[in-house]
Amino acid sequence: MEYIELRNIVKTFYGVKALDDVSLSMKKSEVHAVVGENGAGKSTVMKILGGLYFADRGDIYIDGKPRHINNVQAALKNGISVVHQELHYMPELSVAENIYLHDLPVKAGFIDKKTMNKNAQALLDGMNVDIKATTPMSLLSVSEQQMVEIAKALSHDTDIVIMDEPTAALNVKEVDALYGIVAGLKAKGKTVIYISHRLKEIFDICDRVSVLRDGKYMGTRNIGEINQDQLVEMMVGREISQYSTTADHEYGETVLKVRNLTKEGLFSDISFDLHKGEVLGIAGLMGCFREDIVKSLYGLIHPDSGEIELEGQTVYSGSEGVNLISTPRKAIGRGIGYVTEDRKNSGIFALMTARENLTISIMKFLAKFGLVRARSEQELLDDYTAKMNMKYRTPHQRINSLSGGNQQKFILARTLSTNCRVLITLEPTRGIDVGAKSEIFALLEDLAKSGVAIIVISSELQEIISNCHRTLVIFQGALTGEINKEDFEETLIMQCATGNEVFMGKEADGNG
Amino acid sequence: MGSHAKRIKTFWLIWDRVGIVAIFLFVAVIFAILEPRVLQPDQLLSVLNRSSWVAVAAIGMTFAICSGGFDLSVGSIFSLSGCLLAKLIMDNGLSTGTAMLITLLVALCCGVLNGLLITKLKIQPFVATLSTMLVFGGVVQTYTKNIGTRIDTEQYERGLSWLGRGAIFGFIPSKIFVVVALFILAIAVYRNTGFGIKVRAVGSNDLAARTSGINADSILVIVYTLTAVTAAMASMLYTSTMQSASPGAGSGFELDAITAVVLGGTALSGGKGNLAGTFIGAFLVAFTKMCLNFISAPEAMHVIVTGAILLLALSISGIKLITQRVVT
Repeated sequence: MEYIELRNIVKTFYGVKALDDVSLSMKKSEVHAVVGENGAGKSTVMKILGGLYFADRGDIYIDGKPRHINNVQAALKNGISVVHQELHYMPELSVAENIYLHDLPVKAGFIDKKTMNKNAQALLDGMNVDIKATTPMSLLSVSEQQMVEIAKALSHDTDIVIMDEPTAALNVKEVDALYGIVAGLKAKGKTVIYISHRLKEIFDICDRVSVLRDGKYMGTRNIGEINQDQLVEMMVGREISQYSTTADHEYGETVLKVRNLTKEGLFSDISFDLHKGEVLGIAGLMGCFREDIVKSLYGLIHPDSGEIELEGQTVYSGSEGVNLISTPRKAIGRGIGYVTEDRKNSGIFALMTARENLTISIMKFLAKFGLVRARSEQELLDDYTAKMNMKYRTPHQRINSLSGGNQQKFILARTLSTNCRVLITLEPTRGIDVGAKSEIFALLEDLAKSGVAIIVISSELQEIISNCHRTLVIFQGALTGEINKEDFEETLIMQCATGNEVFMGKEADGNG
Repeated sequence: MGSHAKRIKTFWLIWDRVGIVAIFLFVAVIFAILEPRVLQPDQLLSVLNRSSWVAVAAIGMTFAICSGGFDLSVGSIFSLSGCLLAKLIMDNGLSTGTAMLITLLVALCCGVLNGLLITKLKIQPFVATLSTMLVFGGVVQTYTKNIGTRIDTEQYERGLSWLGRGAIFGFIPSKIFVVVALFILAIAVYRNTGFGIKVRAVGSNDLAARTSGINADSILVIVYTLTAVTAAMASMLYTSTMQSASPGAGSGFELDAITAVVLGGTALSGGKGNLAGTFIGAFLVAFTKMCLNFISAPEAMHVIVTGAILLLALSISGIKLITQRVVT
């Protein structure tokens, strides 16, 4: 007996069909995954269920009755709550206030803080997370904020919980806690709809999986009856090997030398080398400050001490007070490129066109007598479009109307347009679909073969294992491991990431 | 349905470009019913003349708003520039050209100061320019002892009269020629130079701009210098028309400039500007004032009507967001 039924849903955005006659159904007390590439329509389906969008056509049945869900309140009334992918919270308010903002307990006209804090704390404890309900939201880490977002959805105590990429910002421990939460909901007879790009999670916790492709329903399978490759094939409609690149080419001389780099409170005594043509991974759990280390190579963080040598020249020296890479602008001038992990907040210019988003870093090279030549801009765009297989309707469409993968390609192309010789990429595949992921890594490999030295930070260990020559592992701001490709193993990296030291690198002086 | 959504989308695409014209026609029709004479060609030409100073200052303001900030000090800079120009000519006996040059340099310094406060000391544009508005306003009053300066006819005929009352080819008022030339230049800068695009980038996403290697600080300093310099140019047009300068001339002027920009369709959130809209916005502001004078409305009425027109324009932007379900 199906509990939730979506029948023949159609949703059109400005003439483009986001959902084309999609019918989906979920059983009571099952964990049901919905997967698909970006733009496949899974978020649209969830937003229709959650009351954020209203379908052009089609019906929603819950428990056999037709439902009219035209706003969030109606969704809640029909027993549906959503954990959104984006964090929506008030930084000045406490955790408890954020959780119960929708329904503050009131006593004699005043907010009953005691009850509110007690309920919130009970909820958080039940989720097995170590967060105090009275802490201001702004003091939490991103992953803790995500857990509060989940708590917010659970506080409605609805029969249906939709989770849209809940683990995107979580570390390993919290993912475990989330698994526990999902299992608990299922045990209580609730239905969980689970959306994730991380296929492993789907095989870990889901009962069934439905696949969408290009706004169409492709089918539903029991988890036991399908393997990862088959699922990927259903999603993309063609056979792709997710982990095809292997980084087996030789790399050259040292390009970047980092010695004893320290920043009080973030990281200390970091030393490593990066070589021409090498793909170097940096692994570590969320909150280990691995991003901050590479940010100091790009002028976004100013270290306290240590040394950085770039192509034989000292560009930073704490003891001599030299810093030739103190701003991103200067770093770019020295051939360092940087691709942000936070596409929305520090990557794209949402209001500007796709083409402008590409050309903005090298405007002055595209201009003649101060006037930017549209033809040069278009040539650059055509060049990268061909190289990177970018997809867009016109060069003048707003970048935020493109899929995540294409936005990522534009940002990567923008960085490459500066002709960098050292490329730092943070979470290059975050929030993009499987097909685009393998394309991005194939691109990085080509770049490395052409002599660019690349640093890849990724939360997905498999990406590092498949694509890097070497990886550093960071634990609480300290270098705890340096592992070569031959010795890559998930458990070994995780050991370092939780504090055990392993050094297998070529350079003995890397140990510090 | 799809075609319906498409029609809505097309409507707003057109509205973004010419919405200000529709608002203008709406206002014009209402005033024409009240007083048909407002639509006579010579009246409209006089409005065009009188809109010129707001229009010029609104050029700089468009860039400032587009960069995600705005500039409250342009009114004080307007007063300061006019008085400085008049006094340099009358009290110091400088030639018109030299006086203009010095005035522009002083305004440039004011703008650089604003820019540095905003970028180096990280003061919010609103507060930074509010403070300098007070400071520059106080400087004018001290400098002029709160007395206006009239430029005598002999001096006036030698320089400023060409700008204030002259004409090019015998029929295009030189003021209008200057305004149109400045707008064409500004549109070219906005659309076709790295600076124009970077201003939008900073306004759209400051963090992304810095990360892509844009020197956001220097872009902002240039933007605030531009608002100050265009305010000074506006003041020169005004002084050349009035043949006099007064320390109170610029009070409320910054609001006229901001109104013109917002009416023209530039988003206060930054990242997107519309200079052609600004031009019409300035014309609408001046037109409203002229019409209200015509029907002898009291001074307070001017403020109310300007406010109402602004609310009309902003409500339509709000309706746009609602129909597109960007907000619920």
